[in-house]
Amino acid sequence: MSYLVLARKWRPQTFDEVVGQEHVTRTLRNAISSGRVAHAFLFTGPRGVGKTTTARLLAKALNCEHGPTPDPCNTCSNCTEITAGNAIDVLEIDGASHTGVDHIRDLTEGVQYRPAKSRFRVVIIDEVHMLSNAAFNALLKTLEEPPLHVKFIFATTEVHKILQTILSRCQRYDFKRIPLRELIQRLRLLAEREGLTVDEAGLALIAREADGSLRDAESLIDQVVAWSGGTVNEQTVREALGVADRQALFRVAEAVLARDPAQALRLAAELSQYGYDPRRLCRDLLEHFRHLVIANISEDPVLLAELPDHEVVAVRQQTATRSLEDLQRLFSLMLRAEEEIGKTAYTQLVIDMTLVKLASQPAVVPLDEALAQLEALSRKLLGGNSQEPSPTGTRVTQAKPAAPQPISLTRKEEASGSRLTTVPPVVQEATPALRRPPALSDPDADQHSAWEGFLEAVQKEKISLFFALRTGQLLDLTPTTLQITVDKDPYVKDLTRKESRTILEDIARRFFGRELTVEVTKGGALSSSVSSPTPTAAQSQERQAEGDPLVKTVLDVLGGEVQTTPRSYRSPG
Amino acid sequence: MLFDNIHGQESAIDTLRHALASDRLGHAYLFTGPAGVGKKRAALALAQVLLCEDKPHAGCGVCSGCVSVAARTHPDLIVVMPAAGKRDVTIDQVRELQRVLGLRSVRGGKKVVVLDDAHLLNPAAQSALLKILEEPPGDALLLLLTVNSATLSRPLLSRCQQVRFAALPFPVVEELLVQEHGKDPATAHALALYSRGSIGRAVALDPQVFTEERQYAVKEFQQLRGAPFTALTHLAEWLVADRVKKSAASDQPNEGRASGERLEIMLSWYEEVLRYLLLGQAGVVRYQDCLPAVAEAAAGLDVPDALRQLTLVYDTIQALGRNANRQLAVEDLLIQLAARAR
Repeated sequence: MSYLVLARKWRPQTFDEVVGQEHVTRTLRNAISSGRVAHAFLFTGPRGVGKTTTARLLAKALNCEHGPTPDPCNTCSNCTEITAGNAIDVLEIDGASHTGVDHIRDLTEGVQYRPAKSRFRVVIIDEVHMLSNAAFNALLKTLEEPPLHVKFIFATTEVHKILQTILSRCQRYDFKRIPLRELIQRLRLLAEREGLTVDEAGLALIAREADGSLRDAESLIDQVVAWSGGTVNEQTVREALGVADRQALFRVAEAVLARDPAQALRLAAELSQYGYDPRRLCRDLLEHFRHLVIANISEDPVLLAELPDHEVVAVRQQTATRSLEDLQRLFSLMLRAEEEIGKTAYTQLVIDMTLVKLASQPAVVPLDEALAQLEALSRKLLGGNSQEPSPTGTRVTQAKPAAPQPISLTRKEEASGSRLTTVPPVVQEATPALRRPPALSDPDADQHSAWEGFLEAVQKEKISLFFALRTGQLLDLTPTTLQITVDKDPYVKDLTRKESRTILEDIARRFFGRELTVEVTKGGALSSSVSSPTPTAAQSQERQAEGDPLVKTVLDVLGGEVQTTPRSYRSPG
Repeated sequence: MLFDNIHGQESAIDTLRHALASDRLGHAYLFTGPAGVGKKRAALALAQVLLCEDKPHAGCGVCSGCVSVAARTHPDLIVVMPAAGKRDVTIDQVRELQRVLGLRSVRGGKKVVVLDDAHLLNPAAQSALLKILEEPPGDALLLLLTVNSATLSRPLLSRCQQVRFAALPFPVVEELLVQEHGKDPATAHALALYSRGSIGRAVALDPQVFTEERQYAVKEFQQLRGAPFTALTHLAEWLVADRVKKSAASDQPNEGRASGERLEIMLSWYEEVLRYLLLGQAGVVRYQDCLPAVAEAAAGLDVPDALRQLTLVYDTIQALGRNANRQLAVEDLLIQLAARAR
């Protein structure tokens, strides 16, 4: 017989040997000794924690010649046959390759017959989650009321794929991940039996790698022993598994935190030269940034218990250099990279890109702070003399801005009212300014902005007329008439049609708040005088622009003067 | 074909050698590592050692056992790969494997199963393999080869011993090209730099075509800034053009090849630009011969810019691997690059 891997060779043969599943083994033992054994069991849990093993043990405990007993003898013929996997009355079925309903029909038919030589016929279906729906359903009746001599044991890693109707007919046992300490203990025992030279750090590393699964750990030991020829210590484990040296890991993180992309890149190249697996490196870095985030949040040593002391010190040092937001950002970028690297063939490239990206991240400004700064800025622009707000939180201020220019009374009232709300004042002021018909102070400017406002109103209600109107100019606005001139013939025709007139007058009435007659004339002859805003209008607009606080600040800072104002310009005041 | 013929994988080969020597060979191994670095060779070499008839555990290379393994006709060597025209290994293939493993071995020794491209096992097939992997019927050795172990389920991984095959260092690829594939040193050097550590890739490149294409590409990349749209479409056509020929030529699906070599040139170009920015001239490896061009491309860029460009190219290549419209994707990439460059 050739070599048996450790996981098979040392498969537990008694309930006591099963590691880390006391809650299951104890229940089963008690059930057996009190004679209250159910007829259907479901074992679930992560890979490599003892589901199949326990299933076989249960079969053994039930069928042992000296039983049913919680401590099978392991010497009688029934026990040895079960261990060897050739007992007639214990049926171990691979659910993943016998998925069809026909297999189950054969099975349910077969179990009607009494066992050949033992007490029970035990049916173990491993990987039961792969059975088809029909197969599950074919099981239901038998599973609910099987013959007295039949016991079903199902084992699976993916319990969510199993039908509710099956679940309700089974006693369910959830296997847990094996705690680190128990894993190490078991590995030490194993190494002793195998005559291997091991050291604590090496075992600890393997146990951590195994992530709660004993079979993983045993496979890893096999791997390391094959690589090193019999010694298991930290060095050989690292090299055999391609795990990055912790020191190197810290140096990479250091370069990232110091915002030194070049150094990070150099380190990445160095690591790959030593044969470290890029995917592995990515995962370890992710883990490291997780530690940094944790260390930043809390001083509680329990949270970092998985790390040795000197590393905790180093982690705390690194974490002190950055804010929590920064670290979280780095962590989430790393998380994305870890996902990416699982899918790509360019592993080294992804590592390189990620490290450069992480190392060239600017500091994150918390949203609160950014908002406060924005507000301070806008207040400065509007009021000039308001004091700096404190960096976070205080958004409500009473500071009344000194009005930089005459603004209408209504505006002022509204504005001072808005100071008390939490929304930055600019936003509130901007909205009414867009809609309000202009106050009657400066006729030229008013006419012009009235025209603009009217256009906007038309745009909202009747877009086709808006396009026509846009080519025209306002000729005059009197209390009773709105005179418009348009250059192009087709548009004139469009606008002078009766329906359009009605619509325009309707809009005008609602916009200006009074009855108006709309008169559209063809431009042409008049075009010289009205094709552009009248000089006075332009001047007034310029004047208005100079009064704009924003423009004023620009002029203050940069110097210069207002030359022209684009037509799209609309003064806030 | 023996272990000695596999170069640059000392760690992996030593693992197997030790296991053989100390009689600790497990029953299930997973060989992981990039494409074209020697996984399959190692698997077949191991099969030779185990199935050798001359003296046990020798792998003489001349007996009928070794010869038939090399020719892949040994009755106890089972190679599983996706059926012709299929993209994955199905559950039926695994069931068939299970059946065959249940039979006695033809020549009375071990049976060796080589599951090439294990990442192509579909989920049902992976589940069906679990019981076999844990306790194979009869005396069997299962060797799973994959470029990406991340796609395999945890229960499956937990049942295998993993042997890592690393990307080969440049000098090893270079040496191999010279010694085994009869390339002249200069060509070998150029190809090795583009191999990304895979001898398989380096051999697949035709040196002359490659050199020409690279020169053309570099010239085009230099003119990319603010290039007119017609030039961009033209370049895009050129960049995706080698695709059709490639897929027709290779019958095996292989993720390394899916991206097309010309885009690969582009990727390494932007990679070098970034490296130049960060590390200076010493950082540039693959474009040593056109340093001025690299310098010019890097001029006026800052690190985030260069990184963004590189990311754009990379994302496009990844998108093409997921069946994006090739021409459109590459055009979009070029338009963005051209616009960004000023």
